[in-house]
Amino acid sequence: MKHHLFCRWLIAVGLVLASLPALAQRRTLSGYVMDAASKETLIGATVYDKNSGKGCATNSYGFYTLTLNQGPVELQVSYVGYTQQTHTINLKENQSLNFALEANTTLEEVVVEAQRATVSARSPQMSVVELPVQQIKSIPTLFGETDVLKAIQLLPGVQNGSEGSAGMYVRGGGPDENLLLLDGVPVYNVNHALGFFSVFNPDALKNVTLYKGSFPAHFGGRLSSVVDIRMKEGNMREHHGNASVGVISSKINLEGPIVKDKLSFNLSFRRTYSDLLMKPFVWAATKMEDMDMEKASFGYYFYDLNAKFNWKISDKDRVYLSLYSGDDAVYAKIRYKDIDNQNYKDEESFRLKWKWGNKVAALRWNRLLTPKLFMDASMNYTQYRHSLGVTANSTSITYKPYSKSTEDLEMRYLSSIHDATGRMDFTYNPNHRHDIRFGGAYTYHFFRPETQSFAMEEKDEDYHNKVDTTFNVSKIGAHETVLYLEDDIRLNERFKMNAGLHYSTFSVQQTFYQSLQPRLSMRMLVTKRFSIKAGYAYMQQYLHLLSNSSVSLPTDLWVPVTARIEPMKAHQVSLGGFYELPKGFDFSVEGYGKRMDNLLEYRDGSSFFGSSESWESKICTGKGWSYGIEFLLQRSFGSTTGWVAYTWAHAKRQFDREGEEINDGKVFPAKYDRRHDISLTLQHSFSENFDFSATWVFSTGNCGTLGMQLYAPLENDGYNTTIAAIERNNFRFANYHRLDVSFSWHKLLRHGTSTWNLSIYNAYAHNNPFLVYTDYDQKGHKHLKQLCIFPFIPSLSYSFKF
Amino acid sequence: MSTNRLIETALRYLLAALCCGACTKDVAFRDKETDPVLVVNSIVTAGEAVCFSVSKSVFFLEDVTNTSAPEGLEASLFVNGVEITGLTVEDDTVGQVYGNDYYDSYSGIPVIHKLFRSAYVAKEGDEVRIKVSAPGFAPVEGSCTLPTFQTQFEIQHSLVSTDIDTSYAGDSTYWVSAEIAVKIQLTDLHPGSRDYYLLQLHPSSSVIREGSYEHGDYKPTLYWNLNAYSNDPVFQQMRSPLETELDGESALPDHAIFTDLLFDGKSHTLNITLKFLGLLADTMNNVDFDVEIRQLDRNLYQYYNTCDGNNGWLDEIGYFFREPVQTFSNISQGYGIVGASSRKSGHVRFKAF
Repeated sequence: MKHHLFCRWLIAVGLVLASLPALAQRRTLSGYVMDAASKETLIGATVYDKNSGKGCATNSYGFYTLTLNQGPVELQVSYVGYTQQTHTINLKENQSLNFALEANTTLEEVVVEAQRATVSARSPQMSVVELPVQQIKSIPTLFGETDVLKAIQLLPGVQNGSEGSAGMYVRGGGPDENLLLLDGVPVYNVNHALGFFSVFNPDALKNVTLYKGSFPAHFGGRLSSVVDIRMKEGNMREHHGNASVGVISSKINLEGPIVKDKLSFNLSFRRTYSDLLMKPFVWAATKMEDMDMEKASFGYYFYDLNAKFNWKISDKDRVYLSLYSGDDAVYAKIRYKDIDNQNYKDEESFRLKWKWGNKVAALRWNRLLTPKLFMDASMNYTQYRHSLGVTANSTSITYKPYSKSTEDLEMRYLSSIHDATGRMDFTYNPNHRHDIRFGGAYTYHFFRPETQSFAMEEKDEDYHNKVDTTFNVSKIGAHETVLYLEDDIRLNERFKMNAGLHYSTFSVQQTFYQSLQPRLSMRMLVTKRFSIKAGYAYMQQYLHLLSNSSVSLPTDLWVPVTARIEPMKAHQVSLGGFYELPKGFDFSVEGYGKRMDNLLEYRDGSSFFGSSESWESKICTGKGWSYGIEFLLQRSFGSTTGWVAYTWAHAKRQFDREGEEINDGKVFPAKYDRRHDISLTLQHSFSENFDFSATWVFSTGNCGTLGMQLYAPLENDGYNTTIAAIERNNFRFANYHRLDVSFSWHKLLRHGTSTWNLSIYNAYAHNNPFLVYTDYDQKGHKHLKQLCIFPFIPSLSYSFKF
Repeated sequence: MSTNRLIETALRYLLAALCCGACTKDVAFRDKETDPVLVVNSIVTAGEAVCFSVSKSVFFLEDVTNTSAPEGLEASLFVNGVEITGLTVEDDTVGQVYGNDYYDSYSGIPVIHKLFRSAYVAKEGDEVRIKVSAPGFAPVEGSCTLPTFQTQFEIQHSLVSTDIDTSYAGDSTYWVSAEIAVKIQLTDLHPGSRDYYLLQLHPSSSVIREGSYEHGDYKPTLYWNLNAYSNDPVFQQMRSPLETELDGESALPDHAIFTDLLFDGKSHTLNITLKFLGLLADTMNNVDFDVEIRQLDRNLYQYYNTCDGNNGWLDEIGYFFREPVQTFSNISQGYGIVGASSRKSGHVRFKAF
């Protein structure tokens, strides 16, 4: 008996000892992939071991970690636009290894093919598009102002709003359902000039990624999309810059080391000078014969300032400081004087300053806790503020008999939202099969929807009236917490999935909401180049944007959920196929279905103007759903790049709660429900000195509401003379199409490269509808007219890169 | 000007500036043209004979100079399920009711109405149903139930101030402004059910509406304007936003509707300030007008609640920022409103000179 037990014990020990070598054979490689010249980290670069077939991609900070078997490994490190490197090493222990890739924009196609080992077909993530910043800069745009959001609008599943607007409507969702992150910090109002330009200056940016569905669990708070924008960190080795002068704005970008290989900076500044351009016209207006203006000035401008500091403390620690400040301002000063020295003297002055803008700050610390555990801790602040100040004074004196009267008026209006956030994210790679992310955040939101103050004093010999009041002072504080866990799981060579849970809570004014949001995306690799993907995401949103659906306005208000207004929710499923074609082409087809609840709309007849104390009474809640199919054929590298995108989509709404009906509770098309949407973009380098790019867009008409039948009212009192029988969004505007072209000439000079750029927006001057109304012609016949705001618009800019 | 009006105005000028660089173009209407339908309008008031007008709608791009009423109209009136016979019918051009050209020129739709009159005098509680048909149109029907005035009503008024401006020269006429405080005590005697009301001001026969005068028949009033102001929370329930004056007073619209949501089963005092401005002959000692409270059925309340907003929305450039409003209609397969009301009024008089 004892002999048998001893044998069994011996066998067990033997088995354990035999397995130890297997356990001891795993080693972890980790480090950063960066640009060899600037030391700028590269996001999404691939590190791939040819021997084992295992690989990974760098995270948002250029960090990778790969667990492999001990022994010889043949690493291929690659990134689009860079020369691939191959390193053969003997992996004996956990090792930190950084890679510096050389930029190379004239890649041979053979080399390009090899680099695509772990590109989109292999990733489990679907509904994701990464836009190279260089490609964004080459897309021709309005007034030559390259724009991130305008480029994103060219992707399938993304609709723009009205003509020229930077608003985004992703898979049937509204403009407030998009989470726009600048270095991980939400930006609340991303529009300059009523939405014609966005706040993102491409010169300051490194990477732009759009998620339209299957959101990973570390994202939350919005229903329809996440745009993750990362700023450039700054060249660690040399000073470089770029300055450009355009039709309506100028930009400058400077980057370089503060301490070589340790501390770097990147600064970008952009400002329009439309106010300076308007000065002669305003001056002419003051000189017009029938005007009594003594002095007048009127102007509008906007600016953006981006700054980032990157401190590499050690191989394990990095600290980043990201800052952004941007404002729009409208100002006006008018002074009237009317003097008759014998009889009277009238003087009036009027001053207006209307300003809105964002401030963003993020302090971030990356630390490699262990070779397998990466930490990102940050403290962020973001603010959107909108203010209006008006001062008016008038003095009126008559001499015979003498009398004097004065009137002084001052109005102030302020609206703002502030967020302060503490966040920690961890990435843990226990082995090659799992890539685990987890973390949490706390955000304090402070809302000040509207504060108004008004003071007036009227005075003459017999009368004195004074009013001084502050009203609508509402301040709302809210607390939001987030916890999440997700795992990128490689089940086998064919199957890979990303599964996660996002848990969030929101507490405001004695009301508490919470939600557990599952996220799942899966990939099945049918062949090396073809995969099928599926995804599901449940999202919840606690903030709403009260906005006129026609244009983006600075008066748009962000307000939190309340006891009556519940969080918006969305379930989205998607299914697609992804194919890597020869010659660097990628093709994807993706179908989606989305169901949204607790959507907000202004009631019939409501306007966003008015007291915010009653905003809840102007809103009704309902539901929406959208579905569609997206096709994308793209080429991201080589001398000719671009894409063709086609979307077929439906988006509908229904508001049928009792007392909150819109359109009589019947289903109606969403505002930007466009059935067909086509975008073609093309960039081609003819030589080192000459580039050409073109964009052609086509979409079937937007919806609008027209009263098709008119009839007489109950009582004609001279005011209500006609009633229009309407159904919401019952009319389709004419189809929209437009061609933009851009030509760039580069010249290498002694100290840098100069570039002249000519771009033409709406090159064949198609009159695209902005507004439709009825009018009478010369014969008195009524007909439909449309207003088009951007006909053929050329622009010229000059830039110098050193 | 309120802050919001200022912002709205500034935005309009910005948009106008944008439009200056823009272009306009005629577009063909490609959508399916909708067919006209019958329109029936009627306010059935307790104590008054039932009448209703019938016309037709027009397609919004149709060139309408004069639209006749539908041919071959047949109408039926039922009260409490019993058909009322003996309806008379006459033409009624829009605007003719008010008897002057001013309103004709402002009519958006110069359609001819057929005015059907009956001898039946409506009573509180009556259920009234109107059916109309015509060749080429879908038959239409609308109904209402007259509310029983379930509210005690008392009105008191007091003159706050008057001012006479004698600087206008001619025909012994003077500008007279007056401020009158009016208290209307309402007691809801029907707790648990929602009641709907309308507050209106009417000139008495001795005065004429603003901006008009009788040719060759001199009347003692050449001009007058009367507005009501109130901050009472009952008026916040209206869909059309109240215009807030700088000093915080809110001007009531012509159809100042409200419900008993805030005083169901209780008493409530409406405090209203009337501001009068008139160009009066000095022979006119007293200025009279009626302050009327109507109790409405829900149909009529919803109609008034949406009608003003629909009219404001029609001006697309000016009201670009306002959501469209669907005017309420309870006419099946048609448009218009058949609504009911009962009313009480109080008289207000002040001495002008």
